[in-house]
Amino acid sequence: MRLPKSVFSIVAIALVLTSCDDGREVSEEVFPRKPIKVVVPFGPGGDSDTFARIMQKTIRDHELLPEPLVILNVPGAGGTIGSRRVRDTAPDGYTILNLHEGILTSKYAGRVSYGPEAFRPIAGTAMSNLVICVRKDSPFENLRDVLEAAAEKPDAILFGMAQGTPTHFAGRRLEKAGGEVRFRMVASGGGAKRRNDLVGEHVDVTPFSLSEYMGFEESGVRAVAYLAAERHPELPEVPTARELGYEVVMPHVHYWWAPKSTPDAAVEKIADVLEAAMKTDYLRGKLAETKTEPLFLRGAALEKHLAEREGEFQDIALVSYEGLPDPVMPMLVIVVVLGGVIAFRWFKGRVSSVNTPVVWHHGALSCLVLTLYVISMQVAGVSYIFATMAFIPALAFVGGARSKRSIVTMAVLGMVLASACFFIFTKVLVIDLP
Amino acid sequence: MILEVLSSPSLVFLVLLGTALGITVGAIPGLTGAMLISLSLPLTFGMDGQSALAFLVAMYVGSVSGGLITATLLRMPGTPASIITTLDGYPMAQSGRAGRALGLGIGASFIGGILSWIALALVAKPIAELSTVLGPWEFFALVLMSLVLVVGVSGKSLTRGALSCALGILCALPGTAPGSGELRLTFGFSAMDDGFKLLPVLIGLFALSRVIATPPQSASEQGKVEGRIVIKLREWKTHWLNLLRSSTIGTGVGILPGIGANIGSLIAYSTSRATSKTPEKFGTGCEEGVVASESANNATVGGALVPLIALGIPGSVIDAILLGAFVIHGLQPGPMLFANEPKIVGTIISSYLWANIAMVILMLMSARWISKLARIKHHILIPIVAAFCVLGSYSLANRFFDVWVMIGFGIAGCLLERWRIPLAPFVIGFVLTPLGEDSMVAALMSSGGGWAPLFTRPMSLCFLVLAAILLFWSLRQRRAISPQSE
Repeated sequence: MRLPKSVFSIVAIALVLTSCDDGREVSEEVFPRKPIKVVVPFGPGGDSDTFARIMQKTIRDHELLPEPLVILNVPGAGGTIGSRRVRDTAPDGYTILNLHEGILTSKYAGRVSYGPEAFRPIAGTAMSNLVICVRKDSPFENLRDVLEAAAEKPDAILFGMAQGTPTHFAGRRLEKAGGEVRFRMVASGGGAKRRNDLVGEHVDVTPFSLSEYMGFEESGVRAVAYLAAERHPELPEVPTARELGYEVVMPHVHYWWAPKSTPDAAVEKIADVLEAAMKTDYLRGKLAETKTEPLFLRGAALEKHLAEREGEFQDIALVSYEGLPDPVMPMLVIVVVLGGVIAFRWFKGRVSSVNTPVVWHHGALSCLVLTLYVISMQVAGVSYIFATMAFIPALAFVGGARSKRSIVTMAVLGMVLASACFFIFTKVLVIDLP
Repeated sequence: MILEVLSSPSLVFLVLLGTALGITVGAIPGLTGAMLISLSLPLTFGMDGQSALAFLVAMYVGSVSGGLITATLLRMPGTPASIITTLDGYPMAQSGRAGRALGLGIGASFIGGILSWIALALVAKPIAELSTVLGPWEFFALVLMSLVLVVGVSGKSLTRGALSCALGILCALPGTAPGSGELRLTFGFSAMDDGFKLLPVLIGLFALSRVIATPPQSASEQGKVEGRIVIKLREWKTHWLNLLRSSTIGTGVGILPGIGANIGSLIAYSTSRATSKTPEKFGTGCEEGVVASESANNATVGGALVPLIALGIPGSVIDAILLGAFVIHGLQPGPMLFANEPKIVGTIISSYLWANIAMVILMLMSARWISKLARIKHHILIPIVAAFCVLGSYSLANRFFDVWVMIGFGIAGCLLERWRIPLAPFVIGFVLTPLGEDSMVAALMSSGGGWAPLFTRPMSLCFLVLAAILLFWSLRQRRAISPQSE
């Protein structure tokens, strides 16, 4: 089939449009020359995402950087999907990671084999600590009561936590600090779930992050200890664990990381910008709203702080709970048995098993076009607009559009759709389209 | 709590815009409300807290409602909330009653929304407190009940329903095991560390499978909207009990943390079927089915807002994103919100009401026009749907892995369809497995490994008994209808 000229001209226009991208060289002297991508390895709306976005707004409003920060959410597997991506990216300073102590917990919980050593730390910003809570009407007056009760009757006090997160480590460290203490660990889940389980008497004690505690304070939850070096000025009545003689400190700090061999100039520049942002009234005000301390660490102080924290996690073994059923085998058996029953009936011809016929060659062709479309973007690096422009008329052709007119219509439609989506998703909604 | 939105023109505009955007995104297979809201969260930075929340709540309402359009006309649920609507809405549309199906769906959505708004406005606080009675055992029992229900309601064959559900559960297992934190079934691929995400699986199974399976040159002859879309008040009379029951179920399910609109509509649908005089009509284009599913899924939105504004606890994924919006705008969610920020609470509740009203007006006005969708030639519609499927899966986490997952499940969906294995139990099994397994692990950890509390705790026993009754009922009806069927 001959494609009409207009298709080629549309393609040519698209090529020109998309090749106007930045082909500028990265230079050591001037950094940055293009937007810096900040990978937030959690979903939007969470604590990390919110902090990164407040930081982004501060830097933009105070014009601290000539180029914007772009927040990229890469959620999954406790932050390791995002951290792995940054670890393996080009170390040019244009892709950095915002990840709290999750980087340590996922290493020491055995989820991934790498920790902070796989990155170059840029800065540590903003700090709050975990708060240990009981029910409002709990018989436990303070942390000592809790730990002594757990020592007296091991495996009887239910400790709510989320598996492999700082809340889990906090429980293990409290056990260690209390001597012969053993809680019964219950993997309740995230903050809202733990609060539900605590108030509903499904667990007896659980840690909350400071911001979670601030939200739950009035709803049947009482703090017994703040896991920090000093009391929080806004919570003067809550003692630290250290005061009670238990050396457990669990800070929550937002760290910024660059890939391992990122040049000094880029790391220093980003650290400068973050430091300046932390000094602005706007950011201080935002932090005060959530009762977060405006900590800022960089360089040697940051290295020392990270080494200390790594030490805290290193000597804690997370004993995983024995005796949980593994659903994989039972489900496989069920699938095989049910599939067998259906296949047997079909074989005996008792029921017709086949639905409306599928046109196989058409299905295969559609899959092929789709696969080519995705590969062209993922592997060959074709830009989204161009790939989509070719994809839409191609799939229409497979779907039965044979006339010139309809192919051209689809090509035009494809270009409009692709350009509109590209604009909306990259410029308005900040998605990293190829 | 009623008139706050009307106090300023900009709020009215934002509610209208949010609802319209929500409906549009909800109706496009491949894009969901959670995606719209999370992606537009940064856009609300420049607004004040009141406007931002009104805008986001309106999007939430719109997106849950918009899904019914494509679910009914094309059997591609735009959002997970509309999976159950496809069971009866699509057969209705195919038999030439598309207009009526849309009208019923829109009306039921509106009534479900309004009834749960009443719950939200009147009894938010006491209801939210009550929900803490449910611990890990109860959640586990609830998941078991939902799994039994979905096997019971879908398709003609129980064996096929069960197989589909088991496959869905199996596909939800790869990733990080909740009990031990260890990786399982990832086959050494680090991209699999988080398993398969719901969105790529859903749009693969329902939308992309249609892209692959639709024969060339077919123009759908169905989907012609005949008859009135606006359904007379008099005709609603036969549905009032169903509406009331389904909306109550939807609101109740919405309040529970972590359970979404899809489960609300599933439970309401099974209950309607079990109590119906004509259960054999369910799944073949039954009006009651559409009404139950759509009123319940909209009611979950109001239900899920209850713990959010009463206690600062998110009742669903979208509510967790709304919680982020609170924090960004310097509002401390929690029990003190009522006392400290009555204006904000009033705005949220009021924008929920007005978004529902805007939804019903916008959808009724555009229904006849939108329903032309079903008459567009497939070779025009299909490439566009396919492009959105790819874009939607990619933008979930900015990675191509999810796109491949979507394509894989598209092919799987095609094969399942061919072997007449229903898709709804697959998706529900897939959605519920993480919640079920998390709850099971927490429950077993708290009991020290014993299963007894599942049967000795009153609420948990109650769910199990309810599941048994509903299952028995649907089995008996099945037998009564066709003694020869499998």
